[in-house]
This record gives sequence, structure tokens and C-alpha cells, in this order.
Amino acid sequence: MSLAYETIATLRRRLLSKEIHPRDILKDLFTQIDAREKTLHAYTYLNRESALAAAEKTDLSLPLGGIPIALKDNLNALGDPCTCASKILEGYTAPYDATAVSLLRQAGSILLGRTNMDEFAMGSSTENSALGLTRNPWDPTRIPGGSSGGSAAAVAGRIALAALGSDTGGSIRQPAALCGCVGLKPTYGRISRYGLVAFASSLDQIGPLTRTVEDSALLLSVLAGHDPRDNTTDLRPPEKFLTQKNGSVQGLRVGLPKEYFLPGMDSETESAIRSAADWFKKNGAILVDVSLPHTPTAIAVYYILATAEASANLARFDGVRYGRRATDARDVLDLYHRTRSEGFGAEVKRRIILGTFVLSQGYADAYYRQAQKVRALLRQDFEKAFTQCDLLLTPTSPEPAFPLGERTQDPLKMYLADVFTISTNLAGNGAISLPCGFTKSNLPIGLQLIGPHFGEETILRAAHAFEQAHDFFQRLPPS
Amino acid sequence: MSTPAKWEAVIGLEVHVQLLTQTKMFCGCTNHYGDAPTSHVCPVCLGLPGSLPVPNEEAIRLTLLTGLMLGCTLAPVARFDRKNYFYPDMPKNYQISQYDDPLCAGGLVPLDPFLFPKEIQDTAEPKQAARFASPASISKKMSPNLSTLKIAAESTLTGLAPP
Repeated sequence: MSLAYETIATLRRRLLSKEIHPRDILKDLFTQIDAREKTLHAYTYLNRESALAAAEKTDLSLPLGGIPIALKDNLNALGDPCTCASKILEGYTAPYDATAVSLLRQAGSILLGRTNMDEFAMGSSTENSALGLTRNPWDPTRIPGGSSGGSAAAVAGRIALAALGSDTGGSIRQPAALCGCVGLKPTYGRISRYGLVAFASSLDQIGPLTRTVEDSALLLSVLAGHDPRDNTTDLRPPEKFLTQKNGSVQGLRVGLPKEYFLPGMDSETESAIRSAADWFKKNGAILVDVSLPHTPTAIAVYYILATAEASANLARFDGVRYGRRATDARDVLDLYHRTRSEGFGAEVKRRIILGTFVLSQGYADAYYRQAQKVRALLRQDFEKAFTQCDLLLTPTSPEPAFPLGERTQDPLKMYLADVFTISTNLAGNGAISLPCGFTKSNLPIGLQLIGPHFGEETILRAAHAFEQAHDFFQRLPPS
Repeated sequence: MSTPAKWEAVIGLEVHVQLLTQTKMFCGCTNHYGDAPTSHVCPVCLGLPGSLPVPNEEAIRLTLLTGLMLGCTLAPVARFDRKNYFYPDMPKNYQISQYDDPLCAGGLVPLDPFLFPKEIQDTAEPKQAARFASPASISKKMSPNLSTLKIAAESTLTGLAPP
């Protein structure tokens, strides 16, 4: 079998036993890429030569020695492009490594390439990429989710073993759910954001997309920890995750928030999530009904705060220093106008305008500051719920992957794709999405497990137990 | 025509101070003066995509120390704001500033009355002038001699304890 189908954990064992060489993994991956990338378009850039060169001098004693990993195209890796899938960063070469990227290198992994995304991580379908759309490996007429859609499609389509993504409102978990892989958004502050091109700084978090929960834990163990370059990283000492895997959920209190089970939700999704809850109960977990009463406000709060932060974060793309610069500008104001009009896509412009409005004089009190207050209430919802339970169990996405083009003209409908994932970014909690079933038309369904702040070990143990008791993670998309 | 007596001059000073730190305010680059151009730059001070500022601990310490000397209220939490505007000399197109919760607020600069011109010393109660509680009481006769004010403020910062 092609090594592209294996998990990181398995490949590490085979590398250490000298059964295989890192170049064998790359060769198999490139064979797969040659066969599938044309359909999927998961990558914006591939490091073929540099990856093969790196494979000849890997240190297998390191935790990810010899393992190729793909990066979402908003993570700076020295010498590689970093386009954020935007025309405004055309031709830009990253002059430094993000902390997460430098940790991957130090752990011995090989940078395979850069994955497609919604422009500046704004979107839920990867259709907002200026570099072309990505297709879902389970059904190429459908979206892979977003914004880390390239990462999810690459991992699910067996053209990457694992990829990093970023999650501001669900951008790791929702595409993981729609592509049938494992996506972890760690607690805010768990992984350094230094070198991740900022969308909304108080919500962004880097995380892994993998085939299995074990691989997710492996990557988190490498990436987590304090970084003096990111003042928001937590100070606790480094941890190794999922070192004990007893597969038990005995006594675990699993909360079912009633606001996440709505009348009219997709019936196949609902029944898969209910079955997952039943599995936890059958295996000794205690199901608890909980409430997160401010959930209905989350999307409104998010689209005020995230756009406000984005409007400031994206101000630096002005054509003066790097990236795209408009030609024939009359003066500096004209240069700004032309560069930004030509360089940004429609959704990015929409969010910059909205964000500038909610921060503007006379409106900041009505919108931005009000939204901050409601955010505090959302956070309290989670704190209260976690006095009654250890984990929350919800759907990741209200429905499976939808057809390409279905929502591109209706931004509000597109925003609803993140209705179950947005609250955790606002509250800062960590959460995972893993496969928990398939629809009749063979589309993956994702289960979300949300933990208290820095509760990743609990999340990963429960997710691993569920995963290993089912065969969902072993199913392959049609080739 | 209005008479000058109906107006009271209220003068605010924006005083810039360069702290003697080893490195810049938001990154680890040395701020040594006189070295080759653009030799002390990094992704943070260039405002490159993905970079994040980290406040200079020594600068915060010196700011709080100054606040203590001036009898300011010190903020329990350091909070910064973004002052957004587009300008070509500003790589991020916002300044990192403090609006609502500055590190030091309130406080006062006690001025030594003996450093003021003789005619002001004659008209002002020494204690009143020292507290500077009513600038109007001395502003009536004071000529706009900024250098005198500057000396007074400096002598306070270097030598005198807050009241």
C-alpha cells in the first residue's frame, strides 16, 4: 500500500525500524499528488525539490523526524511564498519562520507545500481563494469547507499526511468535518501565533489537521508551549499529549448543549451525533443536559469583533513595502485605493468595510463595545457548563459538504456554516472535530468535542476512544 | 468685541521622552543610535504579515516608575489600543497607543516656586504654587517662558519626592 495512506504514528515506527526511508514517503505522496491534485487543487505551492533534499538529511531521533507536513498558506515559512490566497500577496516570499513552523523544523519534519484557503482565512468553503477553488475528495462537486479547506482536502485526499490550519471561527474544524478528518483547534494561547498572518488576533489559533487523533496529539505536543514572541501564549510548561491511551470514557461527564440541537437541522447529521452520544453513554460516560444560553448571539458578536480586528490587521497591505502594488498611481492615496481595490477579493473587502464601520467614531459604543460585553457572557456560558460536565458534545457543522457555488452569492447563509464552531473561538476553548458517520450519499459527518480551557488532554482521550471504537477514520474517499 | 478677560488660557503639553532602554519598544532590536541604516530591523518593527509586538519590559518598568514619582494611578492591566490611519511611514497603518487605560493616569508635576520668575513668586502663595493646583493663579502674570517650566519639571523629576 502507498505510504501516503498511513498515519504519522505508523510511519514513525516504520522509519525507526529502518523499514522505510523518508524519501519513500515523499515519493508515494508525490505519486498521489500527481494523480489527484489536478482535481482537488488542495495546494497553492509544492516544495518538491527542497522536500526531497530535506528527506536525505533528516534526524529520525526527533519526534517528527522524516514526516512531511503541509502548511496553510497563511503561515510564514522562510523562503516560501505566503499568499493567504490573496492577489495582494502575489510574489511575496516569507522572510522568516512562524514559531509553529520553526517548531516543526526543529522536530525533524519536512515542509511539503502550502495549502489553499479562503482569502485571509475569511470564508467557510475555500471558494474565496484568489488562486482557484478546492474540491472535496469525497465528492468533487462539493466544497471542502473552509477556510482551511486545502489542508483538509489534502489530508482526506491522501495527498498529505497532516497539515496545519488556522481556526478563527471554525476554519480547522468545519473543513475537517466536511472532509472526514481530524481537526483540532487548541485553547487560545496554547500555540504561538507568531508568524500566522493575523485575521482576528483575539480569535485566531493554529492547529493540526490529521487522519487520526493520535497524530493530532503528536503534532500538538510539538507545537504547544509558551513563546516569548507571542505575549498571549500560556506560561505552563510543555506537555506531551495522549501518552496514555486506555480507550476508556468511564465516568466522563459529557454535556449536550440544547442550543446545538435545533429543530430543522440536517437529520442525518443529527442522528449521527445522537448515535455518538449513545456510544459515550454505553461505554460508561454520563450524559448531562446543559445550556449555553447566549449561543444565538454568537454569529452576530463574531462578525462584529472579527471584522473589527481584521480591518486593523489588514491595513498593512497597502502596496508601499511588499506584495502587490498598483501601477500608474497619481499619489499615495491613489496608490492605497488602487492597490487595495485590485488586491483584495469581495469577501475581504466586505469584512474590512464592516469592521471599519463598527469601530468608527459614534458606532464603536453601539457595536464593538456591546459585542465585547456579549462575548464575556458567552465565555461565562462555557464556564458554567464546565462546572456540570468535563466535555461538550455537539455537531461540528449543521450539515455535510454543500455543492460548489451554492452559497457564494449569499454571504449570510455562508456565515451559518460556522454556527456550532464560532462560540468556542469567542470563549477561547479548545475543541476537536472527528468523523462520526457518513450520509447515505457517502459524505462525512463531524463530531465536535469541546473542552474547558487547556482541557486538550481530556478532549484527545475521549476523541481517541471514540475513534478507535469505530472505523470511520479508515474509510477512504473514492479515488 | 470680547474683552481678553473673558478668556482663560489652558495649555496642554505633549512631552516625548526617550527612555534609555537597550532595545526598541515592541521588539528585541537594539536601538543603538548612529549605526548603519536599516541594520536594526526585524519582522516586528517592519510590521511584516504575521509578526506580533511584545512590549519592552524595561520600558514598562521605567514608565511605571515615572508614574509612581508623579503620584499617578497605575493601571493594574497593561492595555494597548490601535490608532488607525494610513500613512506611508507607518508599516502597519496603525499606531500602538493607549486610550482608555494608560499605564499611568492622573498625577501631577509639582513645580518649585523658587525657580519661577521673581514677580510670580511675589504673587503666589508658596504652597499653592508648589501644588500647582490652580494654574490660573500663576498664569495671570507669567510670561510664556517655556524654558523655565522645563527646568522646573526636570528638577522635580530628578530631585524631589512627590508631595
